[in-house]
Amino acid sequence: MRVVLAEDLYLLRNGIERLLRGHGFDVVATVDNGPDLLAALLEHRPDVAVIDIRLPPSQTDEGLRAALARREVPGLPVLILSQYVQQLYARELLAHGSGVGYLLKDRVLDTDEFVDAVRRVAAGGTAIDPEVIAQLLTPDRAPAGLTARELDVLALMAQGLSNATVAQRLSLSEGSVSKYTTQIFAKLGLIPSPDTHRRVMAVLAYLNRIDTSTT
Amino acid sequence: MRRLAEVSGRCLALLALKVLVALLVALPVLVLLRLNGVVLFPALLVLVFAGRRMADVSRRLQGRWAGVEIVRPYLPRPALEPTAQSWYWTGYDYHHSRLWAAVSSWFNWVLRDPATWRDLAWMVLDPAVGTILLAPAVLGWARPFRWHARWTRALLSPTDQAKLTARVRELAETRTEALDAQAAELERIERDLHDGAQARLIAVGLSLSLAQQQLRHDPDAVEELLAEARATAADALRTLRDLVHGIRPPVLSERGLVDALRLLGLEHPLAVTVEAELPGRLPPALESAVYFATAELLVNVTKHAHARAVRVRLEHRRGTLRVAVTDDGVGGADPARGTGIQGIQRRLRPFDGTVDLDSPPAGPTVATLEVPCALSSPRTSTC
Repeated sequence: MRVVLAEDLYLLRNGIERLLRGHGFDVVATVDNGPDLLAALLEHRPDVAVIDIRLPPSQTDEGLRAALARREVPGLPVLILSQYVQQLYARELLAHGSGVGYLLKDRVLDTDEFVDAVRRVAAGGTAIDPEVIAQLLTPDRAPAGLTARELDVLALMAQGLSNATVAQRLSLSEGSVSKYTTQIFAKLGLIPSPDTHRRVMAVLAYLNRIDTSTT
Repeated sequence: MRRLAEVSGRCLALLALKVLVALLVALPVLVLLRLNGVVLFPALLVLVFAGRRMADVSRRLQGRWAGVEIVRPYLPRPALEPTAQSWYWTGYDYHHSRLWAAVSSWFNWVLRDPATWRDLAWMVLDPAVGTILLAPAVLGWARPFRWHARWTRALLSPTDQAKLTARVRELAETRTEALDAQAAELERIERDLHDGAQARLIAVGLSLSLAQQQLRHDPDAVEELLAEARATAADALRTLRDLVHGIRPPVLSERGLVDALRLLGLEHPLAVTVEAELPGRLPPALESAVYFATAELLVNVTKHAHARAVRVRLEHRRGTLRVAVTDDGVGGADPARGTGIQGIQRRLRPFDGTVDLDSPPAGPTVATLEVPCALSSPRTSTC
């Protein structure tokens, strides 16, 4: 699987590159700024891009903007890494279609989960940081009427995990997870969808009580 | 017809005031002619005291009736400074007795204020000049009424120098406040770093060096130590993230005030609608101040208002940035109670900004921040 990596801090760039290579990814280019990133994406047309949100020259959200300018490389899966995660950016990314990820940089410490997220995004799936979901599921915002178990399933589902992975994380059978998801969707009045990205969108739109497509 | 009666009525009231002023000025003169010099002193005191009252009434009436706002020009009364040797320093001289110090301080304050002498000039001249100007207005002619207002302003408003002095004093105060706030902030950051990330990184180092020692002998213990080091490193990152968020939220640097307010709305427990438009970026310091002031207002809404919905409106018109936070809560908020509004005021003062609270009983409550500021185009800041 071919990857382009954009990260301006040498230590992290090097570390993530080694980590990805160690897991059998083919890192075709590493860059440390926005303009180079765009050039690398156009030149290499990778299967997935792993991008630090804050890149030179502007040190603002250069990486995110490069990722959102996907008209140049249509359908390119993008995983955004950031020192902070905010709902606002998650919404913008998700509104741009499937094959997106948005994770805290800390997540690279947990290699297996990180690599799994990269693979998921590359395959057109979704990876939203648990922290974003936690911000949306604070006690005074969480949907009423769900059991504790259903809330657990909802939180994992909203990160873009498949039923199989949710089952594995919660030590449940895949069958009972799919039963839970059906119940959750019924309780929230949402239309269930086997597509994990659409599922994320539906849940986030519900939690924000705002249509995500308006941003 | 009614308008004419109104103007005439006001003229008569002003003329009555002039008679009072004339009597007041005549008092020390009469005392000097009829009695001796000892009684002159209290008479002069009465003149100065009552003179200020008369001048204040005149200023207010010009503002209300002629639409000519006149600012009070007097210097603020200086406080007495007790010295270590139980003497008092008035700003000009030392006194052992508190009473004499207070008297001396009062005289210095009043007599050295040019506004006192301008008041006196006004008291002597106005009964004649003011009456001549106002006489035609008694018949309902509005123009002399305005001439009279301008004449009053000429003597009773602060001179340019007094205005500058007042401005310099205000700037010195806000500068001190800003520097104090900055020092307190740095102290907080230093403490947070020391107790938070720094301590955790030391723990990581310790775990790693222990692991290194155990490497040959006890692989199980090493695994445990490494897991511990990783958990502590993650924890250090989390505390750093919280700390940075409190210094300057990253979204503010990355996107500016509008998106930062939008995110604030998203993260708020109540339903917050944010209507914000800004054609350019603000200077970073101002962005921060307005962001934290708005965040504070939103916290106040959650704490006190019992509101269901909040609206945040940000606009920039005619060189003024205005943020209005409206809630549908219980109202009756009193800015004098609690320290929230004062904290916001302190945040905005270095930018000549103000906060205004309008909260009738039963609501709605509107809190408005206003900061005069020229908007800069993106990437330049000239404010």
